[in-house]
Amino acid sequence: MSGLEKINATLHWLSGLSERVPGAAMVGRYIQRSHQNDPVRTALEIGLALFAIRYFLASRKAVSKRTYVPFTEKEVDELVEDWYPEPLVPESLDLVQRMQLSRNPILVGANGPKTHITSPPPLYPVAADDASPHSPSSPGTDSASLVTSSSDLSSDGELIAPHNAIPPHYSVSKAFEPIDYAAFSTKEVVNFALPSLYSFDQRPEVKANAIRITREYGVGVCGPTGFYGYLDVQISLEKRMAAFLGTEDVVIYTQALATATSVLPAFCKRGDIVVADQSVNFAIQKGIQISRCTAHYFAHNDLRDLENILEKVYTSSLKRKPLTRHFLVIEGIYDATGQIPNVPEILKLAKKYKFRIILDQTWSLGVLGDKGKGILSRYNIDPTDIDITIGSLAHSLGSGGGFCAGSNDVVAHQRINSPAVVFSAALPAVLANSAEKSLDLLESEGDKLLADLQKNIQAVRAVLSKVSNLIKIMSDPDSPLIIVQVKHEVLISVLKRRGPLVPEISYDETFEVNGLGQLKRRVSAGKIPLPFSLSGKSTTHRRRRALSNSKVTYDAERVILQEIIDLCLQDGVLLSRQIAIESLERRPIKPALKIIVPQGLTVKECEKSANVVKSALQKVLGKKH
Amino acid sequence: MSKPRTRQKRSSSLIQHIKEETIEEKSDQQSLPNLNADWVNSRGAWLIHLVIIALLKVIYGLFPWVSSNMSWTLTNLTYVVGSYIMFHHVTGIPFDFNSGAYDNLNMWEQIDDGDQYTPTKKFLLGVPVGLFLISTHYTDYDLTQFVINCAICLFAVIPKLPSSDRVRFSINAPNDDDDDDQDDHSS
Repeated sequence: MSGLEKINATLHWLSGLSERVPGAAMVGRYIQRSHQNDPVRTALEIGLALFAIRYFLASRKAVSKRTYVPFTEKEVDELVEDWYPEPLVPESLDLVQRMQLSRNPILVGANGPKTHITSPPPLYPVAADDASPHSPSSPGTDSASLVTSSSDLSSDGELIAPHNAIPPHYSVSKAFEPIDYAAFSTKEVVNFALPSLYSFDQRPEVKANAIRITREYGVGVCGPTGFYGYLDVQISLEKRMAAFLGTEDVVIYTQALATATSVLPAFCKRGDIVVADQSVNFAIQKGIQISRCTAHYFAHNDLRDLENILEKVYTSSLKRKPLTRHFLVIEGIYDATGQIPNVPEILKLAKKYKFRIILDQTWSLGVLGDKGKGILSRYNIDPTDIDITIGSLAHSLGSGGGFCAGSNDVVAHQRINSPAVVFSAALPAVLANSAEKSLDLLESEGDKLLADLQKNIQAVRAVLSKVSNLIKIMSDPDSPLIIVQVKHEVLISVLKRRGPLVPEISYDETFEVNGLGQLKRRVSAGKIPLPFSLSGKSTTHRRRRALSNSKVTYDAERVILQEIIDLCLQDGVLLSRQIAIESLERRPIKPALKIIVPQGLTVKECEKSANVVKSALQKVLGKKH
Repeated sequence: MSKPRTRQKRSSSLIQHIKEETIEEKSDQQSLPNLNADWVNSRGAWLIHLVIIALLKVIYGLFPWVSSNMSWTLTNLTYVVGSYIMFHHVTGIPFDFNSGAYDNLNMWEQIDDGDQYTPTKKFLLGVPVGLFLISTHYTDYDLTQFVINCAICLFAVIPKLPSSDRVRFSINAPNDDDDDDQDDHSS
């Protein structure tokens, strides 16, 4: 019997079925008709039908691993019951954090180049012994309970206990001792920690205007401009700012920090490429992170490294199909180092490799260039050559908020696409008006103000340069933000001489070779990675170790710097140091003193204050102690 | 978890696999409902496939020079090509809800979070198979038309198979190795 006959026989049997099974007659007829003496096709169709049946009967299957754990209703209830809110300030602060909290000065009255400060009540006492002669004025039981509530009571208690608990060979840092509050009850100090360089906010005409505007417009606007439109003072500030900077248009942001974190995601999306200096400020780092773009970082102010990266990104982008946006992010004066980039060269490179520039003028506006028009004016660059300029109204302009300047298209895009413009309440009228008045003042008195500021900066630098054997001034000579780092060898000798500052913050000799040496090499190559990486790469562990190593000596360095700051404060000079939330920064922040020279002091006052800083540096870092 | 997957690419292959998303991308995908793919699970969305096929058949029937046999083949072809473009060719989503976390995935891979053998996927695979069987039946088993319909059917079915998930065919595909050094320029 041939195959054909067999199939025919089967079909015959099937047609017989049709009499017994209801509906089978139709199927039988279909199969009989479709067979048409063509076994190959019949086999194909049957195969297809079998495949379809198998597919239909298969049960649901997940391709990728779930990123969440499925809970039952009961488990969810249990978890909800167990949950309690975390305290806003974690209970287990480390020593440096506690030191920082105990050292926050409180201003009394108006802030300015000279200001009155008082000291805070002891939130987290650094030396919580009731017997101490310098015991804080608040009840000792309170402060002790804060400490004893932490889980590792014994070790913690020992750490913060005074001299009797610490072996005699430890030379405990004064930064962990309580401040003598009696000496600080509202004391006038020279303020070297004030970003409002010209104190425009203290001018009588600006104050009077602010009062008038507040009476007229109220204290704030209750929603985004997209809801209730713009106030005339906001529009007038935008126009004034655009005219001042020489760009087509400006959009105002309500907060300086929210400017970069909002402008970057408005323009860069996933797949776009950002090349940024490795020392860009926190806001830009977060903006890059939120925007989900691919980021490359070049070594700080290193044009050759920048060109290498731009070339690499450019050539690889030529091979890719969807053409993505490329941005280059720099700052006018770097917040981290006070250095000024060579913008003309960077502009040339950006044009050569087709990158758009995002320039952060937070520190450079009001300081550099003709009448403080910023870094572009200093280098005689046409402002329209830079695609996006962001900046702050809270620094030299002494108001509040931020701005982004650019072409009409760049600004119009942000009005409906920038998160902080769309979702955040608009800038209060009084801040907008104050910023505009500051711009007026800058335009009318700019030459004199900038000259004064430069005189003060040079006076302070001249004094500080006398101790250049101890410190390294990182900043550009023109920058009012003076970043002072302790020289590496000086730091090491100080730490060696003093030994462990407290048991926890000790100085490890091996670290000098393995940890910091390696760390230094990594910094120079521009390869310090995220403190914590989501990608789970194999090298993460090594990086974490390098970071935690750096934390130990960096903590020791911070304590030393705090001693210097405390000494300066005793002699009436308020200054600050680089303070960052380490876990949120891309790379470890090198501890440094931060001196901001205001315009409102005379050269003599500046010299006097700088001498205070100088003698504090000599006292803490100098050879004889 | 084992070491992270990278893009699997053979030296001279036209076939590439889309690499698995990072945790960051996955959380972006889950952050908001995927409006681009969720609607296919509703009943109306199933019905519309049948309605469109019926309309195509009616429209092709209106042309006097298209025979009845031919109109079934054309209906099959139009439906399959149209659904291929919709489900397999276009990637990403037209809305800006997920920060571009779906940019690499086509709609078929987005449906039901990429799960296989879900009711909707079964239905969407069943439609071209049924259409093929009907088409061959109504074209009176003409060999040429059968071959055309069969090819169309395979064109619809193969991309929907679980083994085709996240597979791309391309000539002169870009080398994506550079993507790995995100946040960490290392060279």
